[in-house]
Amino acid sequence: VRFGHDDSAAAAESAADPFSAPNFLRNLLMQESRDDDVSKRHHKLAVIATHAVMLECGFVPFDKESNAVVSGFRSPLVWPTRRLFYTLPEKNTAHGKSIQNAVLEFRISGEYSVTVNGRLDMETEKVGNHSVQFKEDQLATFMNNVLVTDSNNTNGEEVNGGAVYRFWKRVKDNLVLPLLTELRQVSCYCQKLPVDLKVEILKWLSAVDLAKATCFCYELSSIASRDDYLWKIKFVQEFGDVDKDTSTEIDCRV
Amino acid sequence: MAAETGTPTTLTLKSNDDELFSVAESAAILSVTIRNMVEDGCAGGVIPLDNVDGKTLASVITYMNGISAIPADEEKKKSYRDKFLSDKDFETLADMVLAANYLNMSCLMDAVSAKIAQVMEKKSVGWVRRKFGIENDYTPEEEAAVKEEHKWTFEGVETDDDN
Repeated sequence: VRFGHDDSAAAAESAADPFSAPNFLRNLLMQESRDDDVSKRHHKLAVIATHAVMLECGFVPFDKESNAVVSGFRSPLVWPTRRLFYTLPEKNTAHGKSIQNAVLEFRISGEYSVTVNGRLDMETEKVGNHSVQFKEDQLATFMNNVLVTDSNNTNGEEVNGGAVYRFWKRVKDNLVLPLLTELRQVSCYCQKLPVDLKVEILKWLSAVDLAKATCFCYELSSIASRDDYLWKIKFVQEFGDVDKDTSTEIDCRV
Repeated sequence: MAAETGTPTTLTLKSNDDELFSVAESAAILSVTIRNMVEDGCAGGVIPLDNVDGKTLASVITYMNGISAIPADEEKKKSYRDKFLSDKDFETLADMVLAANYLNMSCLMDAVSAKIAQVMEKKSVGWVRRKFGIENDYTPEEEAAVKEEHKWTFEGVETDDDN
């Protein structure tokens, strides 16, 4: 893992790439953990990135003590607190009712691994517990992906944000969507489908229509441009099953 | 596991909104999830399907009965699937993808997702957004940029038929 990355160079790069979640994460991480060691950076990355997926899917941060929505962006890293509360804007305005929350708990499960547990913050009803574990190697690849995006990085095959995409997909399908569904806040039937099932649908599209799906919205753009599995299928359909060694070297994504 | 009298075994399935459905075991075990329960001997009473609502389950059972009544003839099965899915709107299809995934029914999963993809083929970006309820979350500048970059994918797109 390379750390001595220059911040201003990073800012310049991020301006060049409009779809760069890695660059955003990198800048945030640099601000947050200038002096931390590697394991702490791994933990913080898991927290910040999970937080970002929650916000992307419509959750807002919630302050349990003041019982109010936290307005504006605030970094979720008030260590050593590792519990984060969220609510949905609609739930917050329901007068007379207690505000429904989702709570995420981050547990460090080994020097470099993190487990995230998510559930609704309710005592009475039966609530599901959803959990995602990020192992050391996954977080390390993710970290690499975030910190090093320059194309002359020859040792990593992941210069295109593949690890970020996989992280996003896991958090969204296993944590965020189940929580949203339990809060019964999934109004749009398109949102109901987990990323995995969207991939199952998109794989039936022709390569041209799959590339066009990039234009629909951010989410489909990420899936259509980042999912290796999808593009491997399309590659094989167009060009036949070429030698494995060759196919791994060709970036067949659009 | 047919009963000794020779009458086919029926299973009772319960949707997440508490509707009960009777279905022949031979048809229900198209779902690997249900088949595993039957094989593990836990299908004696009512089988609760927590992730499927009554409307969707009714549809899935219609499919189970229909497809299992067709002998091993892939052509006929395919034409049954096409006909079965022909009048379904996207909301129903999306629910069926979720159900087919939960019930582990690969033939239904493939048929429904292929159907959704087929509806999207050669359609304009705007048409697909309207039809599938996809919210355009690009800024106007971003949208112009992404469309410019993918202009080549708009060749051969059909004219919208909904306005």
